[in-house]
Amino acid sequence: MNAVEVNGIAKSFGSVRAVDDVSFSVHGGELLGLLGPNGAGKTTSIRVLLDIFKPDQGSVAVLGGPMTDEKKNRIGYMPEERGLYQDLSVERCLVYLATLKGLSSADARQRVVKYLKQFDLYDHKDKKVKELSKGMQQKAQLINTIAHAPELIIIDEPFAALDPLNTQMVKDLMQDLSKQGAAIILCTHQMHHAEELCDRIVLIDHGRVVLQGELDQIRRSYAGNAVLVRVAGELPAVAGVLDAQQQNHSTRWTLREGTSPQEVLRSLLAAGAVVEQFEIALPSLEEVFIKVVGQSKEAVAEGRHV
Amino acid sequence: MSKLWLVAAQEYKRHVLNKSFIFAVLSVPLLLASTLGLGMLTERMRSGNRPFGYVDPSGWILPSVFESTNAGAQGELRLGVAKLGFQAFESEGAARAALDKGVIQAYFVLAADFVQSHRVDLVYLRPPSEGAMSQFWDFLRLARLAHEESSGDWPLSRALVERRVSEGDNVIVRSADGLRVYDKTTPLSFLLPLFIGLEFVILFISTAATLAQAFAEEKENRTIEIMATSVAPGQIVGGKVIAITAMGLTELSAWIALIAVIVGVVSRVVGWEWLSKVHMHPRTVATLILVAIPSYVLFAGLMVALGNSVADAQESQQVGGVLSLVFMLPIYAIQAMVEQSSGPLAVGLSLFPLTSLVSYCLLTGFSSVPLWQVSASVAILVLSAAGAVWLAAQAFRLGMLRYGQRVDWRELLGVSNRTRPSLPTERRQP
Repeated sequence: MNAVEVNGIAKSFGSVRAVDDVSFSVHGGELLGLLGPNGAGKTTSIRVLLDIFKPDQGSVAVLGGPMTDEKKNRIGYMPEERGLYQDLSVERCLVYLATLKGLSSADARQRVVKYLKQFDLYDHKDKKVKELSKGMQQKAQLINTIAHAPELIIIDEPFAALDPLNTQMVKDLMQDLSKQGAAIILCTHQMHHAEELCDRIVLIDHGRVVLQGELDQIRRSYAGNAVLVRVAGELPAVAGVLDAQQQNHSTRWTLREGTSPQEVLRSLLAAGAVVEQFEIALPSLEEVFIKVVGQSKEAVAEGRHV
Repeated sequence: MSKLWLVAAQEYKRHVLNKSFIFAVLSVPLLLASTLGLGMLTERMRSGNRPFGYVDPSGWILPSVFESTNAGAQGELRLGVAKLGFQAFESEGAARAALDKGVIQAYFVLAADFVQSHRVDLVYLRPPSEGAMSQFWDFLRLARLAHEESSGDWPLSRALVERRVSEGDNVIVRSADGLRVYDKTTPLSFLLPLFIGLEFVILFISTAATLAQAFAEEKENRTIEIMATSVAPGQIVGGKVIAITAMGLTELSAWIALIAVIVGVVSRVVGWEWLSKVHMHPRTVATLILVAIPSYVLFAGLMVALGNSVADAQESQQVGGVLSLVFMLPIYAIQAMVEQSSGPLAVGLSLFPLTSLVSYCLLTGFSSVPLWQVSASVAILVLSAAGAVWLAAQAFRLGMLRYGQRVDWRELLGVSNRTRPSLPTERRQP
């Protein structure tokens, strides 16, 4: 059973079509990246999923059916617009919000304390939320999202305001939660984070899904006819290579149309080169993103859908 | 515990367990205590606590009067704050010496032919207060009674006549419907509804403003989206309204308890016994309760709608202040309301839902309000309160995700084409 099934949802605000025929799903233990530029329709899709907005058309099934009050206790949501009660102490605020997710006070306190220690916030538990730094507030917000051990976690831009150390800690946490069986939807426009964490991605632009699938498959499908090569010593000249560019410690060869990587490898070996690295050059997710969103913009400008 | 009560308990603790609430609870009783204290102090300063002296060469004042007034027993003078004693002097010289030494604050000299001339001279260094003077006239009246009694022509009991002479007349006026009684011994009873009206004004303004602020803060803190994905909107609104109402009742109960203590202390210690006799007819109480409950729901509903439609907490306070001014409108028109209690202005303000409550607080004190008028006001209020709750729910739904943006009143009433929230967090590029 999928944790989330979104089928053809559409949502308009006045004359603006914010989301149009968006479909995706996520199952337990999966980390799905919901990607897209600012204003693409990611947050609206999430709000429809969470029953904050009713869709104009389409359907949403969460944890096996329509959203109910009971199911809200099984979902952890960290919105892009962060917010905690500024005048409450960190611990009191988090315990209160955890009890709203169906935990008893004692249970809520126990779990909050555990996470406060894990996130190095325990020494600040009696401070008012407004007295915390932005990064600390972000971590408190994350604790609020996961303290009740939700089956479905939706996190909007979780790495904003975090330093590299805390960013890595949050990444590890998300991977742990995913391994424990939680379905996670990560909304972000920071592609390198999505590339590192996600199993699958859904790319939304102008309210429509413009790309979705397994991350590896997507990168392969967008790979040009190029290889990354590194040899001991000088690279020999090989037939069929159109262009050579240095990329980190390797050389990226763009191949002539009709030339296969296998032919190039054979030529290299025939030339007596000691091959240290030879691989198909896959585009980064950021490159895919720029390409797809660029195509989407052109399509919208020309008045046709992608 | 259901989420409704979790929200209510949390909101209640958040608003009650802080300094500003404790200050608000103490402010009204302290104001009353300081007003009473100031009055007592002023009276004491004006009348002083030193006795009066008198010289009576005519021998008209009988020793029995002097003894009874100074003994503070049956003939005790009850006027004013200070119960002054009266000291007899054999001669003017002795009285003057006592005045110069500050033993007495003034002395009277009755003329030798006082019975014929009724002449009395008053000697003082600083003029005595009106209260002190009035006690002296009561003293003379008692002296006169004593003469009547000694003449043997005395049909009434001494105690009854003394009481009338010392307390003055007491005409009790009752309205035809028996709801209002004017009794000189309890002069504040007819003003009680007015005081209650003022209490309501303070209570409504303080709690309703808190309510509007509670919702505006939720938007300002960006907590509303987390709340909306944990708790049903009805539970959020309901929990907050319950909490703020409970906060208001806590405030009111504390005021009543503290004011009762102050009144009890003042009436016992200072002798203002009339304070403890202040009362209100049960039907008047019932009328005020019937009008107050839907009024509170109406006001709370409007404040919830306001808190969800404005951009921030500061704006909610400003607009809430305007609403409170409308609520207090009858107080500004108090003279017209009291003088023409069945005139169009008074009737109109009593029927207009926002001004009903304060209107009734004024009208029930000074006139008899017909049953049809009360029934019509309550019916209008109940309908308006229901409308306000609908408006509150509409505003909550439309405004909860509009951070830093207002909700247009046409949207609230559903007459605008723009019937759904805009997307402040997803701004499209031009």
